[in-house]
Amino acid sequence: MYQLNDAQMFCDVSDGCAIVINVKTGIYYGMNPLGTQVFELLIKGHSPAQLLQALKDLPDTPPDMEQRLSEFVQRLVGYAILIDGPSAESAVSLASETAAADGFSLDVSEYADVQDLLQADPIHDVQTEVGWQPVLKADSE
Amino acid sequence: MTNASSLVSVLIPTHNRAHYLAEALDSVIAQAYDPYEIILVDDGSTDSTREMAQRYSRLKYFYQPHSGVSTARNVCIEKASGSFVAFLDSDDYWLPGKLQAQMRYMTEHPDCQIVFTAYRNFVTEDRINQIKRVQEEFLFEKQNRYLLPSALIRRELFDRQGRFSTSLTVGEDTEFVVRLKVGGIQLNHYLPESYYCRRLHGDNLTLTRSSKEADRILAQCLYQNVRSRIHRDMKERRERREART
Repeated sequence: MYQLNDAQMFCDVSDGCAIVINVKTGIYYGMNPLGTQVFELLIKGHSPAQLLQALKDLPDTPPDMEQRLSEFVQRLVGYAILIDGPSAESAVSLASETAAADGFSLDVSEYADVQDLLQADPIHDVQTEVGWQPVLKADSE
Repeated sequence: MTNASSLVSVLIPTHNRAHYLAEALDSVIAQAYDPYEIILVDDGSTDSTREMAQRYSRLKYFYQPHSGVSTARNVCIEKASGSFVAFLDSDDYWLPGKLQAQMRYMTEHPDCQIVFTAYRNFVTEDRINQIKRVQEEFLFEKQNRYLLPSALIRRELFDRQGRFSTSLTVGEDTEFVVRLKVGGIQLNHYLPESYYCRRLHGDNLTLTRSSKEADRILAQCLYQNVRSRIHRDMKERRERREART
């Protein structure tokens, strides 16, 4: 199954929306609430088949749900957000209110607008505990 | 050349850099464009920074108990009276013509809020043996077009976009620049001539591009600034979808 590619991705959920940042490229991603719920279950090791069944168990699931889920997972894999990981066997469920509010849409958007800003500047980085460059012994001589 | 609308405040936050301070201050005083004021905020230095500052009569010196670089930068801004501000890190220095070139650019581009310049990295002579390490890190060749201390900034920008995040002890300049970008500020104003000299601290290579710490800082900088954008986008998507059905 899948897990978060946490060697490369910073991830947090804010007000129901997952925000994933590729710290190597500066590209970041946002997901809608249903996409976020599915994503969180995927990175816990639940399979797309389990998730599809959970989606189908909800009222008014659209007939193309399998395709929607498949495309969503493919995008997450394509963005290198998901990598192979261990499986989880526990039961899964999804909130019907979230699915209905999102029209069963699984959205993940890609943003590259600050990519060029995120060039790390290691030489001038500082000691995290004091917030300034270290004073080297030879400097004070 | 100086008039009421083109007053420049030079802002120098510092902490235990007395031995480099003269080089920094002399480079400001030697500028052809005379700044309105030079503000030094001493963030709790325990060396001879205060005594060094007293040698410069026109320097406005402010001492604060050690509070970190973000707070020191913010105090600099609070004290500034100029319409423009330019930061200088106290271990670095400017090359001649910096302020003149940037002020000329600002005059020619009245919509410009912030103009960066290219910069040179350098290593103190007694650290020359560290150059190889630095070169191995390819940093001499690396140019960050958005190096905040190289910039001349309209003072009002801080009133609109806020100050430096005091929750960050590192990366506060990156976070601020990201905030500007996300806030729609044009960051493409750039002078390709090098006017800023940045001292490399050769022992300070632990935070490399691949380090977890640097990654975490970058991610936090970005995260703080893109949340609202993503929420807005997702809300708009939902509304468009509802409008269709």
